[in-house]
Amino acid sequence: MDAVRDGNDAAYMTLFERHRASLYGYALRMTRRPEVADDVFQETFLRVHRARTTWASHQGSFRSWLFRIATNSIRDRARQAARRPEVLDDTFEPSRSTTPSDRIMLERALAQLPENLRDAFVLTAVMGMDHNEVAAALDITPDNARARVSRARTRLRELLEVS
Amino acid sequence: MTDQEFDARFGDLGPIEPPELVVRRTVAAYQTERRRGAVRVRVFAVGGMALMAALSLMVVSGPPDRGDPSTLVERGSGAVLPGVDVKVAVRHAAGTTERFATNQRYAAGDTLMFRVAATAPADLKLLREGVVLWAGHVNAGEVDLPVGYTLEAGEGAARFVVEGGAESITVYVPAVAP
Repeated sequence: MDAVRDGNDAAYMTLFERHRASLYGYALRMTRRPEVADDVFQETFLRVHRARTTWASHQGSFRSWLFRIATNSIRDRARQAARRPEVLDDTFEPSRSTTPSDRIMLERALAQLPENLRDAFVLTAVMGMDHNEVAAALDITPDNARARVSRARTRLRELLEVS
Repeated sequence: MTDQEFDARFGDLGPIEPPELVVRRTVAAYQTERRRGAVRVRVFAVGGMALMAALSLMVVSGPPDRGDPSTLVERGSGAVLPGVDVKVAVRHAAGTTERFATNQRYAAGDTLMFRVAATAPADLKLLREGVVLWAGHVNAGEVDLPVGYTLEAGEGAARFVVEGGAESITVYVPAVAP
């Protein structure tokens, strides 16, 4: 990221390649609309470029900073969408490692979580972040991140009827 | 099931590759911003007087008032695109499979399956009422999408759309009996 801050093109593309699939997965699961996820994806990486000189390693990992930018972009769009009533539906994706029906079931359950639980759980369970990274990405405390993940897990267990 | 085991099931969902078109568009937008930044730095280096002189010249004999094509960001799906065709089959809970028909009402437990034929490699999306069920790349020829949609009791009528290439094909699926 230091090289990106200095304007290194190759370093930026390396970060782009490394994080593009995880960022798109997060955007798609949070927005549940591919056309919105497409825009969040592009806007996030452009904001990274524009704000590169403001990034500092002591503020946390690059990944949590990247997802914080994405989260802000998603929230901006949600606020705009709130002024335009839309019918949203659940969404799901096929699996590489589980059967399609299993994956659909999990994605459908995720889509039913409230946004403020879904973001924390997706970042933790799907993206593999720890509570400190999630806290930095969502601009909340680590204790709050842990509590949100726990509540999300409880809700998902109910939805999936897993004991 | 422990919390770790439970979370691991969701971990298998993993990242989702963005469509190739979105990747290209994003990289192009980034490169455009990079170029603009480089131009700004050079302009500042020239100094105030030179800038004023240049601006004066532009006012006197500037180019027509239109955008610089090199700074434009690619939007849309382009002009030359593959054609895509879709076939839908229904697998009943009993295990039999038949061709999908729009004038037939299907039951809970029936699974819709999609086969696409593309004239060239294409990025495709399968959507239900505007939200994605599957997105991925297919090669030219026929391929079965690796996802089936199982209908649930009481599910409302829905439009399934395959987007890709030059085509956007809609399949209307009637409501499922409660």
